[in-house]
Order: sequence, then C-alpha cells, then structure tokens
Amino acid sequence: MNDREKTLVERVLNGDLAAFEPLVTPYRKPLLGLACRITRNSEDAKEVAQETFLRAFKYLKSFDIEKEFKSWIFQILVRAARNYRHKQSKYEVLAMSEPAKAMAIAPGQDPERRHDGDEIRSRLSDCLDTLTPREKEVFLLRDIEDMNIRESARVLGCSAVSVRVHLSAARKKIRVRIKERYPELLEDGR
Amino acid sequence: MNCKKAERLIPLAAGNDLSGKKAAALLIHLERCPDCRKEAAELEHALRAAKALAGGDRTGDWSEAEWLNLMRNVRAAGIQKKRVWAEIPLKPVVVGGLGLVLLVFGSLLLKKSPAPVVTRAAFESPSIEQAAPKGIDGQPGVTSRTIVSKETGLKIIWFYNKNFQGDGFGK
Ligand SMILES: [Zn+2]
Repeated sequence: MNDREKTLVERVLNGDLAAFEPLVTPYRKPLLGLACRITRNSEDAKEVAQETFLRAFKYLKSFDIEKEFKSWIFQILVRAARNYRHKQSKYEVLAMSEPAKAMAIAPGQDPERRHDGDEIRSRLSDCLDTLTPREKEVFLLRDIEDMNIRESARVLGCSAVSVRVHLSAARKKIRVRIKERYPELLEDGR
Repeated sequence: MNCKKAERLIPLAAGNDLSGKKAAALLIHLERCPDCRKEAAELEHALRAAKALAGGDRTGDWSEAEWLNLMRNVRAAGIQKKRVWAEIPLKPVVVGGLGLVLLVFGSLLLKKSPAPVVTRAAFESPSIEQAAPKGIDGQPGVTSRTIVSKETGLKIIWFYNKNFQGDGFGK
C-alpha cells in the first residue's frame, strides 16, 4: 500500500472520518465500472458500490495496513456483487438490451455519442454473456481492470492457478464470440 | 511442444501471463505451426478489441451531490468498534466455564445425597455379653458412653467392663 493511503487509513482510524473520502475517491469510478459490468444495471451497480463503501468504512479496523487497499476494497465489491446477485437473482435474467438503456450517461452528452456508447456497451455485454460468473469476474479483473493474476486471485479469494484456468477459458470464449458476431473488430486489430 | 499444449498456453500468452520459459517454448512452436500462429493472433486481437470496448464504455458515475450524500451516509453508519470479547481467547474460557458448571453440579449432588446409613444389624450383631463380659461378681459389669457426630449423625457407643476395657460400635 502506498504511503498516502496508509496515512489516510490511519487518519480515519484515529477519528478523522473526513479522510475516508480522499482514500476511496481514486476507486470511485473503477469500482462503479466493475459493479456495472457485473450487475449489468447502473442502479444495481450503484447499490453494490454504495454497499462496498459502507462496508469498507465499517470494517476499516480489520484491514491489514501492510496489504493493498485496492485489492481489499475490490474484494469487498466482488463479495457485495455476489450477495446482491444472490438476493436479486437477476444476474442471468436481465435482457441484454435493457442494461444498455439503463446505464447512466453523463448529462449533456450528444445523442450520436450516446448511441455509440450504447452500441459499445451492448457488444461488450454480449461478449461477457458467454462467460460463467467466475470467468467473468476473472476476465474483468485481469483484462479490464488490469490487475495481475496474483492480485485477481486475492480479490476473488481463490488460487492463482484457478485464475489462470478461468482466464484461459474466458479469453477463448471472448475470441469465439467476437469472431462470430463482430469479425470487423478482429480486422481492425490487424 | 505439440499443438495441444500450445493451445492451452495461447490464451495466457495473449495477455502476457506466461512465464519466460513457457513463453519462449510457445514462440518456437508458433514459428513452425501456422494453425497455432493464426489462433494466437486471433486471440490477441480479440483481447485487444474487448479492452477497447471496455475503454470506450462509459459506465456512469454519481453526480457530485450524490457522491457527497453517499460519503455522508457512510460516515453516519460509523466504524465497527472492536468487540471486547473478540480479544478474549475462546478456548480457556470455554474449558474454564465447563469446569465451573461441573463443579457446581457436583457440589449440588453431594449436598442432596443422604447421610451414610449404618444398618441396625451392624449395631446389634455383637451382644452386650460379648462386649462386656461379666464382672467379678457375676453381674454384667457394663457401663457405656455415647458419642454422636453432629455432621453425619453417626453414633458411637463405647461399652466398658469393670476393668474399663472398652469396645466400640457404630450406629
Ligand atoms: Zn501448433
């Protein structure tokens, strides 16, 4: 953990509660983004992310200051998302086009870009739909959030070997889906 | 390396998740095998495309007012206090507690149990004649002394003959 985060954690634990905001602000967007991709609905994602911040604050005393704060807070988010999925049971049920419309879009964004955003989101959603929940978590952490294998394993509470196995399967499935439905994306990359 | 093994490694290689040794072995295979080379190229492009999609995907954000409100709610919920009992080692407490319970039960049982019974037969079996043989004048030269325990109720009677040779019986 970097010194800045260490100091902020200590300040919160010593009673300076306002220090919590600068501690979590760098993770505000990445956490909400990951929650959006897991839940596929912006309102659910906000609820999951809010639950994450609540828990992080509540249990900050149990956080080991020698470990990575980023891994810890992402771990809380993944667990909150799993719990939410369990409770709502709509993880697999939501239609693909629905979350695209439900996602929050910055006010003032022009309709053309909004349309592009929907298109991109629905394609990504479509690719992620081919994955099992665990493959999706692994793929999102390693390939989208850019965590390394060990960090991803820590966040997911599993072994690095398990991450490699699921990551391998996820990348193969993504490739198959893109090749089948969006071959132009492969052309672009060449 | 054969194609089967290469196929297993290609997805990991696409994201630079192979160790140097394995990556080098795979590279040698890819140079010789066009099928695996094609597969590896496709995987790399697909992965890049997925990352590009994610990069262009705006997943939304809280408005500043929402964010400030969220942080206020978080602070209001408070930090979990460390529970005092969480720091007490559990094992000795459980063992000690069980021991105490057993001790209390044991003492209750002992308190309720009746005083030791001394049978009548045990008292009556030796006769006074045996206990106090006749004196010099032929009369039973008996004198006795009784001691009763206040705690157990045990009664001890001492019989003496004229020569004050005693014999005791419990009752
Ligand atoms: Zn081959």
